[in-house]
Parts: sequence; C-alpha cells; structure tokens
Amino acid sequence: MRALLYKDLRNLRRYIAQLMAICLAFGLIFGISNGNLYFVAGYAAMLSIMIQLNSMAYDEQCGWYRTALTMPISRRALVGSKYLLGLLAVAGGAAYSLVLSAVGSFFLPVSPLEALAAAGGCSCIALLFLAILTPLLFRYGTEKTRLLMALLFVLPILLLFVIERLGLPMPSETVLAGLLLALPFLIAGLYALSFLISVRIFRAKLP
Amino acid sequence: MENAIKVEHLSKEYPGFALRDLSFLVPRGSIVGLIGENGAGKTTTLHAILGLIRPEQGRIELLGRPYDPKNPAHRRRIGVVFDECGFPPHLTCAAVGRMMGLVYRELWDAGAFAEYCRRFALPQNKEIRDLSRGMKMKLSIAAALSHRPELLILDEPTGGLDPIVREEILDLFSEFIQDERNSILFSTHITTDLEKIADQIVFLHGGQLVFSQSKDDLIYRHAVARCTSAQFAGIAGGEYLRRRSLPGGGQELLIADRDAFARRHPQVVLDRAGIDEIMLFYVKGEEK
Repeated sequence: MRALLYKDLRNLRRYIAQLMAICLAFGLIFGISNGNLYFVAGYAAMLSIMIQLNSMAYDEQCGWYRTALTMPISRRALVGSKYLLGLLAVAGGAAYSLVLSAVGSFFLPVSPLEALAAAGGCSCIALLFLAILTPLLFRYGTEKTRLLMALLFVLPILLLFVIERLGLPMPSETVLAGLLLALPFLIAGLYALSFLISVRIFRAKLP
Repeated sequence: MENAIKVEHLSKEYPGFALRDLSFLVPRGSIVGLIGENGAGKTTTLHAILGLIRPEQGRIELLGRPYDPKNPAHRRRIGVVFDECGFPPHLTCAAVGRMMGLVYRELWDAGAFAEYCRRFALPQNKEIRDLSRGMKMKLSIAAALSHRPELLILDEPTGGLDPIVREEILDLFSEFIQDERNSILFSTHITTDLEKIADQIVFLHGGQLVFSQSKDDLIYRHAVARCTSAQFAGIAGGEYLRRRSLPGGGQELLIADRDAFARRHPQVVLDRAGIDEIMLFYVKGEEK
C-alpha cells in the first residue's frame, strides 16, 4: 500500500502543487477578501476529488493495472490505494479550509462551529462523489465515466432547483442537525461499500 | 528437468478468436521464443500464464507449483516486461526504483537497479514521459530484473527498437540465463532476435500450437527447397512439410531434414530456412 501511495503522490506531485496554488489563490481572493470562506471549502473539496480521478486516469493510460498485477500486489491493495488516496486528498482539502477559516477569523467574523460544519459537510459530499464514481471508473474507465461525472456534479443543483420549484418544505433545523451528525457515519458506510463493489468489479475485469 | 513454465490444455475463447488446447513447456535454464502472426494468441497465452485473464480450461504451473493468480506471493519470483512501459508518466527512474523497493522489500536489489540504470545510461531524474521508447523499455527491463526473478516473461520487449538497443537488451537476457535456474519466455515478431538467443521455439497459429521445437533443429535441420515443376513432380508428398507455389510455376518446399533431402535430390537448390520463412510456410503455404 505504501508503494502504491508513493507512486500516486510522486506521479501527481506537480498537479497537487498546482491545485494547492489554486486553492491558496481562491482562499485569498474569495475567502479572505470577499469573506466567502465556505465557498472556498466547497471548492477545495471539489479539487481534492480530482486528485484521485486523475491518478486513475494516469494508471489506465499507461497500463499500470496490468503491470502491477505481475508484481506481488493484491487486487484488493490496488483498489484500496485509490480509496486511501481519495480519503487523504479530501482530508487535505478539509484541513486547508479549516486553516483558512482560522486565518480568516483574524479579519472576519467566523464561527468555529460553522467552519467545522462547512469543512465536514463538503468533505462528506466529496467522499460521496468518490464513493459513487470510483466503482464506475473501475468498471467503465475514465473516458466513458466522464459524462456520468458531469451528470453527477449537476444532479444536486437540479435536485435543489426541483425542490424549490415544487415548493416542497425544507427539513426543519432539528432534522438537518440530526442529518449532519449522521452524515459522517453514513458516508463512511457508503465509502466502505463502494470499496467492496470496486474490488468485485476489478476482480471480474482482471481476475 | 524441472520446468519454469508448464502449460497444459489451455483454452480461452473470445468472439472471433479461440486459443485451443495449448500445451508447452519452458524448461529451467532456457529461453523459449513464442512466435506467431498478429492475433495468433501470443498475448492471450502470456496473459493466461500471468493470471490476467481467466482461461476456460487448462492448468498452469510456474516454477514448479500450480500458479494461483490470487496469491501475490506467487509473483515474487517472476519479472514481466510488456510491449509498453507500464509506469505512470511523471515518475522518474529514481522514483520507479524507490517504488519497486517498497513493493518487493527485501527482494529488491537497489544496487543492481542502479547498476542497470548506469549500464543503460538511464537518466535518474528525467520523467518517463520524456524518455524515448528504447529508454522506456530499458527501464522496464531494469525494473523487472532487480528483484532477482527466476523467470522472465517478455511480451514483445524489443518491438520498435533500433538494432543497437535490441542488441544491448539481448545481451542482458543472455547474461540472465547464465544462472541455470533462470528462464525466459519471450514473445516477439522479431525472429532474428530469437535466432540469436532462444533455445526453443513455440509457434502459434490461429490460436493453436503448430510446433514446440528446439531452435537449432529448426534452423539447422530445416531447409527451403526451390524446385522447378519438373523437379517437384519427382518429390514424394512425405518428403516435405509444406509447399508454396512460385509465380513462375515452380515450387518452394519446406524440408524437415535437410541432409536426407539433399542426398535424395542433389539437383534441387536448398537454402537455409529462417524462423520467418518457416512461419510463412505454415501460415501462407499449403499442405502436401
């Protein structure tokens, strides 16, 4: 697993540095100057997803999976390393938005609880996206999954739009608070389930 | 003699192609060349041996024990080189070495890897995407050899390389085989490479085994007889393996025993049969 993580981080090192620079610029422009710290938290979470997706695109492109399976690397470890990379990237994004909130608190009125909720909520959504996308990427490859990926990003906005148009009542604050507390456990369960599905898909594809 | 690879009754079916009842051996201490036209089943065979596809039927033994693709430990003593470098493009040679060290742990010989890189003049800090095809293949070979495998499985590793690079790579394979426990299964279209280093040739055609034979027997005992129609009329069907009609009316015959044929038909011109020509006779030629 260490070897696989090292490979991904080393291969993506320049890309990760670019993402970090973008996050930093966005943090300064939109977060601290415009006072929109939570937008930056969402943006950092979205960019963190790209790290795992890109690593899978590179692996597919260079035939890494086939090469790796001639080495003493299990299929489970190969799939697991992608989930671990996703988790690390999302955690990095969350850590960045928390640090930004802490720095921003010197200039702006920031509620620590709200900052934590924003970072946690955005991380959960990022992990949910990864939990849905990763098995699809293993099954169909990056080229075919690109369309589904775009759909997945648009879907929540469409859903909110439909709810608003239909005039459906928004859940109460108590329900929302309960949902927010249950969310990490729900996402952890979904992420684990997604991993098991991906292992199954990978084993069927490369037995 | 113990076998490095034992393939028995291997079958795999795809739409429009089937590998049928393939059996052959790679004895320890030998280099076996796997040849055949495009689509003959060479890569399918290698993938089945490596457990990258699931055959419908057949049994595979690697290094003296049944191969279990689900068990990563079974792959510790095997080195594999495909026709493309399978490492991500932004890794450097040094990073590949570090990663492989983490994969193979105590088996990885960092000194040997550094030595191969030096010998092949592989730049340590250049990214793979900036290396030439020859350099990429050299890196793949260096990485495949540095955990001291006992079996090398190569899928067209010299394809598209210039003769100088090919020669360097072939020299390395010859050195590897100096240890009598080591073996190589080498799939290629460049049969001149096999004429230089192989001990045995396994020829596949249309998903079936045509022959598995000693290379020396093939190229020193086989011959191509070029005869006129009149000469051909005096040659019995049992005296040749395959035949090809020449545009001017004569016949080319693939002969299994050059000396015996020459004694019987001293007037017929006999030429050396290279592996390429033998393949052509089987693929394009006619039976007796």
